[in-house]
Amino acid sequence: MRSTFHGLEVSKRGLFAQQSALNTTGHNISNANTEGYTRQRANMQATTGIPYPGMFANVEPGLLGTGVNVVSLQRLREDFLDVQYRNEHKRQGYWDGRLETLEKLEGIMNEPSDTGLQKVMDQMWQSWQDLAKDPTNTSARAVVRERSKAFADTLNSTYKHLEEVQRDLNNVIGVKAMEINSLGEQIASLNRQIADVVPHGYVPNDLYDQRDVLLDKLSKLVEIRTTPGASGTVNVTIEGRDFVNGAQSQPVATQQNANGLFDLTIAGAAFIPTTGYMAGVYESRSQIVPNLMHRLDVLAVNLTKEINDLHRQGVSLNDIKNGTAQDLPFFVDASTPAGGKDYPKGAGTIRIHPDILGSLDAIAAGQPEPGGNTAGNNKNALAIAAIKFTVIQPGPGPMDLKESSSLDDYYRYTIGQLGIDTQEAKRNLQNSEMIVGTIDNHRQSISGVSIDDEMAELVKFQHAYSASARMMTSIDEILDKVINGMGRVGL
Amino acid sequence: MAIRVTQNMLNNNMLRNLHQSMRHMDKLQEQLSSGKKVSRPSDDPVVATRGMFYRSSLMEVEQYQRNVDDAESWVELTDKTLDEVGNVMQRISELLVYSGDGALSSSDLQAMAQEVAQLKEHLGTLANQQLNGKYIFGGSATNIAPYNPAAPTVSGGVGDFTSTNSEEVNLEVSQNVFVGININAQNVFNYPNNAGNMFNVLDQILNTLNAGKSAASFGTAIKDQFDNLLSERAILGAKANRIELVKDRLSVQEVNVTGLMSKNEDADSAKVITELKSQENVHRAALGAGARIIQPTLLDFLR
Repeated sequence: MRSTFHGLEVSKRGLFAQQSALNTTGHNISNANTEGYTRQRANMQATTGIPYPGMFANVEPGLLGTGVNVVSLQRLREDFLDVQYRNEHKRQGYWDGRLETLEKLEGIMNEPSDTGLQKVMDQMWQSWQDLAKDPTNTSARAVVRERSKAFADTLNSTYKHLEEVQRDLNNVIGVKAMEINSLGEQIASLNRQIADVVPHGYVPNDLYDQRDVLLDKLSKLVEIRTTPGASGTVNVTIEGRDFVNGAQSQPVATQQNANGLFDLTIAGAAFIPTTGYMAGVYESRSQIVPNLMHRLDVLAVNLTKEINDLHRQGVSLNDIKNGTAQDLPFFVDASTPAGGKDYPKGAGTIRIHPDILGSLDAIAAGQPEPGGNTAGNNKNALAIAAIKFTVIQPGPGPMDLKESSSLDDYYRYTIGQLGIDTQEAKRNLQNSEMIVGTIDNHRQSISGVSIDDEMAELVKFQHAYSASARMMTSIDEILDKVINGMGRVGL
Repeated sequence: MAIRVTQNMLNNNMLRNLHQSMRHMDKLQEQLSSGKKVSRPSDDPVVATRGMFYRSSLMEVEQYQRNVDDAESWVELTDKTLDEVGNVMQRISELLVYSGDGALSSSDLQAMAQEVAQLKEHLGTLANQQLNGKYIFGGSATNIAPYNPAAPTVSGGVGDFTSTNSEEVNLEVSQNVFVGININAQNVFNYPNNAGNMFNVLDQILNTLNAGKSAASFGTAIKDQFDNLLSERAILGAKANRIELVKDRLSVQEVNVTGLMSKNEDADSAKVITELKSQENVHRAALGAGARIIQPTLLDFLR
């Protein structure tokens, strides 16, 4: 049997329910531009009815509706899309990290151009040809020296640039490790807050949103996997190792290794990132840049060896004057002690022999002649100029070429490889960006706030609210009639 | 599943599209302003490395052209000098024939000797011909005068061709193609040997004339020298021909390489401008569409 005020109660429930739906709509609209916000919906359900037996019909009683209640505020989100998003996001991060480095390297190598190493090398070979034309000419010798110096300087400075890039990347690894840790701590702290309220039956939607944003960010940096924990918490692993466990997070630490570069550890155990921005940077620092440096080293070592071997057998103007063979290498290593003849050990340490810097006449343009050496002999200059086309044979050593090619080809191949790698990174990044964009669109399609939607809801709930209020007025009028208008006959 | 579209999605998509179209325009603009299809190896690794190769080749060709020019001027000067030597020989043979005239007095013959002495000195100057400070008849000893006016000759006079250097000086005029720029001066000035070379013969003529005798008997020796000179000049002519051929080939090569380089990396400006124009239209359309889509919401109609 219903009470007299049943109608008032039903209307009141309607008012409350519509109002809380209106509030949810307002919350959605307010957060339309909040990063990672998931739109919420007030799920309404009719409250349990009460038996209402008929007065005249001898049948089973019916159920009288008692109004409505908001049973939950639901976050409209699809977990599967989060998994997809994070999977692709790490790939985007990886290619992003690689591309940044590769583009920097392209800038440093500056090829093809009229100022790159190729041009400097070409000019060096030209200068030897010019010396061959005029072996006694001091200015031709000066040009050989200056062009060779330009070659050495260019290699030195390119190498130094690469070292700087490597150091930079190493710093980035340190900074990104801190960023990962900060994200981990925030996730752990959100886990704690969530675990505090969930057992009491609350659904902390907005905390979930915040945590999902952090997980999205983290997924760009490293390979993560998430598993749901107790009381609404989430556990995160990095590269299969525990990172966030409930309210606890393990720090990702950097440790300087023997080369002065950072190694990564998580909870004390070393790991190498395999994907994500961190891996892109890590590989850049440990592979891409050192590989390029090594190729420059190989170029420098082989090229200077070819020149040195010939130059030592040659005859310089000083040799002719003094009647002795000086046996001078043209290029030496920066670490060579005075009077030493150490060949350059790498692109960063190639220098011109100090004696040649001291005297142009120390350049050996000629080769020994059986009838006595002469100043006009240009055979050595010609032989050195021909190194440009000499095919160097491969060898087993670390500084040997791995395939037979001329040094010119070797350098061009290096640049070509750099171009291909950059192109690959660019293409993959673009693809990843597109996929991430598509997945994000799907996610937005489900979770994003649409002002149009919300406005429609607003109108809907507003009308429902007004109608409930109107209902209340009707009940009021009815009761007024019953209380004040009835039983007053004759009064 | 029908896709639900939100304002943020529209915003993001529009921004993404605008960025893409801007990036495309930037690329085209770069191509237009640099005139090159590629400016970084990653634009097209093949074109880039080929571009490096062509640049390198072009520099080689330029260098070879410089070398050929040098070789040419060297050979030309050699030829001119040898021509002059021939003239001297001509004059001497005339004098020799003239000295056979029995009516000549010994003072006439001595006056003739004076002229021969002058001619010998001139010949010495010719043997010491220099190009850019280098003695062209000194073999590889280009810094030492091959003719020494003070050196005693076998026949008792002074002034002899003392160089014995017969080294060839080569220049590279194409990859692995070498051209000797000097002639073997020993074959000209020390023919048939140092004791019997042209300076010695002239000294003998001088002695004979100074002694008041006819020197007509030296006619054969001078003719010998002259014939030898001609055959050396023929060799030189062949060399000049070869240099000329190489020079022609190099200029063809230069045109070829330049053409290949241009074909390889030059942007087709008509094509780029057209593309830029159409990209600009796309961009305009994207902007216009964005302005229309983004603005109104249901809100705008509920007032």
